[in-house]
Amino acid sequence: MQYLNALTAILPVVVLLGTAVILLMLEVFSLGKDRIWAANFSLVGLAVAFYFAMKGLGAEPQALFAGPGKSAPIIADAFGNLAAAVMLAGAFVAVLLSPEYIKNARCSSGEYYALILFSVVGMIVMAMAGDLITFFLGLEVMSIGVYVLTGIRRNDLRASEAALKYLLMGAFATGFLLMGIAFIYGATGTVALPELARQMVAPVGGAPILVTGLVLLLVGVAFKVAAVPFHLWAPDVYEGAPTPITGFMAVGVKAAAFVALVRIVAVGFANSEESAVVIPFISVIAYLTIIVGNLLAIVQRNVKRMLAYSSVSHAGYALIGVVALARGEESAGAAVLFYLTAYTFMTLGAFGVLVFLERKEGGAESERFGAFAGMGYRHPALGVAMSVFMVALAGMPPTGGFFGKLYIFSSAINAGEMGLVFAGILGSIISVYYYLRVIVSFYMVDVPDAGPLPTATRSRHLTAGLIIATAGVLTLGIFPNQWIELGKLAFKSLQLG
Amino acid sequence: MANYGTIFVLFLIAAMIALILWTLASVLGPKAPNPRKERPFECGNPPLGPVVRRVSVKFYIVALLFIVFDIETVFLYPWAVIFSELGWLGFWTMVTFVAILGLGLVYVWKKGALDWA
Repeated sequence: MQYLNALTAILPVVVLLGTAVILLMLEVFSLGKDRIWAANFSLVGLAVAFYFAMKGLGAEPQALFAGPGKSAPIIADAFGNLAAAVMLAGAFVAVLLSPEYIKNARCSSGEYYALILFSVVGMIVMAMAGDLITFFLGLEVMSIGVYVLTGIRRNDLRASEAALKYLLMGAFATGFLLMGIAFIYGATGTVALPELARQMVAPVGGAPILVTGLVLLLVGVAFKVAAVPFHLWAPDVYEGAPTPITGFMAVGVKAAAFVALVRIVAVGFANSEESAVVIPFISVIAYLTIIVGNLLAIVQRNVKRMLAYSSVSHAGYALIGVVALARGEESAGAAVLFYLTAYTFMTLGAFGVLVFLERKEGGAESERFGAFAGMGYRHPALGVAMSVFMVALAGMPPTGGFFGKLYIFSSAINAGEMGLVFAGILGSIISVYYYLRVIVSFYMVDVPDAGPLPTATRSRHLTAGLIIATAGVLTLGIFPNQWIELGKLAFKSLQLG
Repeated sequence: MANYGTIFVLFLIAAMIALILWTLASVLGPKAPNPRKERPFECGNPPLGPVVRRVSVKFYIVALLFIVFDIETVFLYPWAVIFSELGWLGFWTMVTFVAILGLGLVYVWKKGALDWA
């Protein structure tokens, strides 16, 4: 009974796992070439899981799956459920973008959707992890799914290169992360977050070892969120992966890693002198990420690569929130969550427009700025949507991107991190240049040769995905209060638990 | 930390012995190289072929599947040791784990990954 109770507390995970396993069985037992049912089936699974995650927002924080006398590996609280809802929404949009892309790229396979669902399971486990080992487990479940998805177009050289690069460098970063966990365990004798917090109150004997462990842990996480100087894999991997997967990777992996980081910082290392030692380390990473990410995005000619560097720089803005949180500023937790939500919708939307515009035989050529010339007139609705996403990514009102940055920066000001806020604002100003460049090529560039129309003009899934993304970005920009209040409540549940 | 100092000294001595013996051998030992001596040693026979041979990619799938079920045993053994302590929670958790793994086996079977053709 204890087991069943535990399962009902993490219904989103159970539903997703069930959907993914059924998908795999259908893939091998049922027949038929058309895999649109697989997309629809996973959409249903994601929607049901989303419903349970939102329902779980009101529930009391529960510590689950604890052995006798042991700490709980999974903590189902409002924070975990809210983060799960964000990731599920991201995966939902990513799945909506997929069928058309798969048809064009001819990489049809039922495993595609099952792998997305498995990755989301890993992300939710990360968000609900009560100890560092469970966090690591979730990270691996997520990563392995994404490694395979990156290389799922097996006949494409760019995809194979991307998958290999991601796998090798990801494995390396995992080593750092695990080493960090080992050091933390060595210094404190525990990996459970609440227990760590208790250990931190008294001065710890092995402080240098603990700091080493924390830094190594942060290096591993920084790799996953593609923070400078651990971002080198990102542009190639983002370019080579199937476009819907690039979007999924950019939002889901990043959200999961940041949410887990917020939980680790807020629960495990709150009020400890050791975490104060690593704040400069996170700050330096944040500075570098914002500046380098934005500067490198300027020089990109391929829109997919530009979005890759833009996603690097957005990791930097979110890191500002983590620094503020580590300084003890509590509003930063909700700010990071809000930022990740807005980022999820605007980035997935931008990649959705790319899916729309990529041509069957175009390859890398159809991803250049030049290929988008005049698109704003040929597809007016698409032009408006892309403009909304670019404006949001640049952080201008009335979009979610603006309020995301506003909340992050104001929490950083409260924490006294003026330098980081200045860097963030500078970065946002730089970013306006390359985001508006997309709009310029949509509306203001002469079309020398119109070329063939994009192939994906009549996909209901794709249209629905773009509408959801646009609606998400605008809703967060016009009614930000509800979501930030929800985030604050969720963050409170974190501190109670 | 202090207790590990002696182990470090042991490492140092071991390394020094190895270094001294190696230096002595290279300084004092007679050297008469000739082409036959320089060839790779293969049990006294002349070498038959290149050292790096191509391996069928099928082994890769077998190795992959082996690891999965190897890990399963790695989990099952410690679980069996503390089975009674964990109670029903541990039992059903493990049942779920093995069931999912079993479905995985069904999947690879139907996909034809177990056929050696």
